Amino acid sequence: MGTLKVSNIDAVYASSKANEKVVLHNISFEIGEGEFFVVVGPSGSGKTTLLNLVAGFQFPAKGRIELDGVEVNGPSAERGVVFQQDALLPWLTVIQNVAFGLQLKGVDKQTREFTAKNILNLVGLKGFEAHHIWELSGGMKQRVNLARAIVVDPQLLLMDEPFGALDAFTKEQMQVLVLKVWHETGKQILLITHDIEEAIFMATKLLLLTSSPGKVAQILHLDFGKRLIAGENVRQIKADPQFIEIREKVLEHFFSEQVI
Amino acid sequence: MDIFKQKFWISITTVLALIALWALAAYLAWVPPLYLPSPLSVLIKFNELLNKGYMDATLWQHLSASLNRVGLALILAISVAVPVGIAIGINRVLHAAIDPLIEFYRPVPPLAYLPLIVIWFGIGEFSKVLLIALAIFAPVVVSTANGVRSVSAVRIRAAQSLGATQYQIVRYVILPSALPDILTGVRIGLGIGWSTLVAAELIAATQGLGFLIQSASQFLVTDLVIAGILLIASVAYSLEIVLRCLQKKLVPWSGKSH
Ligand SMILES: Nc1ncnc2c1ncn2[C@@H]1O[C@H](COP(=O)(O)OP(=O)(O)OP(=O)(O)O)[C@@H](O)[C@H]1O
Ligand SMILES: [Mg+2]
Repeated sequence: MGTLKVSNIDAVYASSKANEKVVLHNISFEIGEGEFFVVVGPSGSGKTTLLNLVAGFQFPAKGRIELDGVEVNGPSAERGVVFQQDALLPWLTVIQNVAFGLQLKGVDKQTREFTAKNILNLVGLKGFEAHHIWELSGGMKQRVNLARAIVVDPQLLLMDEPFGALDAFTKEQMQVLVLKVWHETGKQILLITHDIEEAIFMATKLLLLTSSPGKVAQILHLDFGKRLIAGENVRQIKADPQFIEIREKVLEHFFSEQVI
Repeated sequence: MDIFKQKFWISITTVLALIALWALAAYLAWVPPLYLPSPLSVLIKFNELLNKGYMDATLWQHLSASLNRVGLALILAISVAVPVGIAIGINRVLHAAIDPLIEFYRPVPPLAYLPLIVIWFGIGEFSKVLLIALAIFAPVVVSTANGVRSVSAVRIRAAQSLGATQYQIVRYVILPSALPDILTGVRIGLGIGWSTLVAAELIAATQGLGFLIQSASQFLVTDLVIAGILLIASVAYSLEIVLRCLQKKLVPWSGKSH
């Protein structure tokens, strides 16, 4: 198993030849094995653009993105993506949605439903196999999205504000769930968020992005997520003076940037 | 549902009132029977049609002749229009190439190109089916292409990230996503096709509801003309209902916020 290596990338949007806008500038980082990598930054700093580049939905103007030494040149099943709610297929049931990636690979029905069922159990949706997507709450839909992405066993899991539309309580449940899934599957994760508390709580490596154009301001090494895995309580972790100190520092960093 | 019931009774009342007015007009001879026969004589004529048929064919033969033509035309139109609609919905070059052609012929009434079809293909069954098929084709292509173009990019990206091939994306994401629009196109197309039927059956038909009206009007059998019109309307209405039920069954997710 290898690493995702992002080297000196620039992302540019051009509405016309003369009107180019550099959105990301000289971004470099690596996501190692079992790493939970989080990118946090203000709105418009290019977070979604960065994720799209890694997913292969768009291409950098400069620089290279490699997974295991192979250059990324389009979407592929080894880089799974957890989308927001409307990415699910409403004509399929919950279990069919989760099994969809296996169906595409040509896995037979019995095997894929067996695998999908196990993953539904893992994300806490046991008993919802036959439900329709429109019968689920927002939080449950996100669980299905997560399950669908991990069923094909990607090496790297990409998530763009996966809990952005959820209420505070459901959001925290999902954070805990994703940490649990991360721990149990051992996947590398790239999570994008603008929620600073979420970022600090989940990351083993946290990239702070400045805005216009997005540049790497700092990369922090953290271990609050690992403390949760080790059995500590969420509220306890988030109320820990150490946690609060880091949170305030990051907040201060973003506010001071705003003033300039 | 109260509002639903209320609406239903309002509709029934309107229809009954109209029939009563019609009966009154006929009874008081406001209009000569040649122009407006009474509802009763239309009913009698209908009964006669049911028992004896018209012009060497039973009512069922007329009805099935018409339904066969429309059905055949529908199959023909859908089997070409859906693939074409998907292709121009996906591919910009194809869209640029084909869309003007469709937009150009779409507003032309079928009666206007009927003579051309007769010159090209004669007066046989094929010409009638082709005329109806052409009428159905345009709305199905247009709504299929629209449906394809409005498939959410996120769904497609999600499939790509699960390793889907281009064909799998069309088959498992785009086609089902566009299905509600395709069915709406079919509904509209079937409506247009059915109304083109009368025009199609002007081409030397010896059976069919359009032929029946046409022929009855030549002999000034007004009550039969009216019976035929009501028959055509009820068939169209039933088809619409059937398609709506089909739509509910095939795309139960449509209209549900998700
Ligand atoms: N398709 C596009 N064409 C042109 N400009 C774009 C496009 N997509 C994004 N941008 C611009 O690029 C910048 C970064 O956008 P991006 O969506 O990556 O930001 P973000 O950090 O994800 O923001 P948010 O937190 O609001 O989701 C913004 O200024 C945006 O206006
Ligand atoms: Mg974004």
